[in-house]
Amino acid sequence: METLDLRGEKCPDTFVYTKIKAEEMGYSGGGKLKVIVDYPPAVESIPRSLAEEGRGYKVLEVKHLGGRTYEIYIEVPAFED
Amino acid sequence: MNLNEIKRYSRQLILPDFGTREQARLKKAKVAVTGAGGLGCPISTYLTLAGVGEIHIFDFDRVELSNLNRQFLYTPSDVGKPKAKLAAERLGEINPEIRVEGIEERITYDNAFELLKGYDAIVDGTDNFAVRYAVNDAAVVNRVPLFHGAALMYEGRAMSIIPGETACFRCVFPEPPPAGMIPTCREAGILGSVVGIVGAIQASEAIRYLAGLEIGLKNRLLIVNVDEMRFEKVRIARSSECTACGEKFVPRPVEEVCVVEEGDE
Repeated sequence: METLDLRGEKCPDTFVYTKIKAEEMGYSGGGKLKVIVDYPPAVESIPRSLAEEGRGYKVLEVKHLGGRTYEIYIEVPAFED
Repeated sequence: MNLNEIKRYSRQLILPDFGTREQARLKKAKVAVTGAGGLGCPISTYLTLAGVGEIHIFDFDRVELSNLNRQFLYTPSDVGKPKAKLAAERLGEINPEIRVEGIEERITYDNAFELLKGYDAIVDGTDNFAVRYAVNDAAVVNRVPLFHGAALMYEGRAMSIIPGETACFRCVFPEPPPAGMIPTCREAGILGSVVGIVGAIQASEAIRYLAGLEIGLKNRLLIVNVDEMRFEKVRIARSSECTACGEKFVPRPVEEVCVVEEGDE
């Protein structure tokens, strides 16, 4: 499992870094990705934006760690193209 | 017109329908550009190049590295510096025959009516609904022509508003989109060339209007889609129920609905 710590980042940068990481993983066989954020709107917008990518990303779980901190678990498929 | 001006503007002075009278009208004009971001850069650049005599650029923001895919008036060493001042400085160098002023002021519904008074035109380069509605209402109440534009992802829109004559922004969009339609992060994406197209369209309309020529986006909404390179002109009409330009003006500030924090304005 890969981890991306985005504490301190806001939208749209939270998605910028998530997308870059997810694509890097997708092009090299896929895998599981944990994204840590402390910007609550990102908890909704990252999964929504990932879904709109149409790449087959799956959000497996969102964990609230307390306060403003959340972990988003994402399954990144292996890209075919 | 001095010799420098004749040479500088020679390629537009020989245009059909455009001559020394039209150029003199541009020189006499005082224009407000709201925003020095993605739209503000092409808007203010083309107004400068055309010879609009006095340009006031409103922006309270500072340059960020993520602006540089579209905001071509700034360089990496400008990061952290105020956009309005920088833009005015650069444009003043590009055309020393005109006056460009940068105004570091955040436009709100409360101050827009006062700030946007006494102009011959306003060209809107704001990126959020709160300011966009404030600029529209101020333009309508102050009877200043407004050249609206907006862009998101691969799409853009533009319309020209002549108060008392054409539909205003609020006639077409009485309310901002509901909070449920808040753009996702993905929708905060924007391609520099798309804001370039939209800003150039707004500037073209403003320049022709100020020169006294006919313009094509009165009571028309232009929708530009760069995915398929589709340009579509939609007929729009004034609404008698419009709270800005209808029978009676009603002040209606709009809350910002977008969660995207990186702004152009």
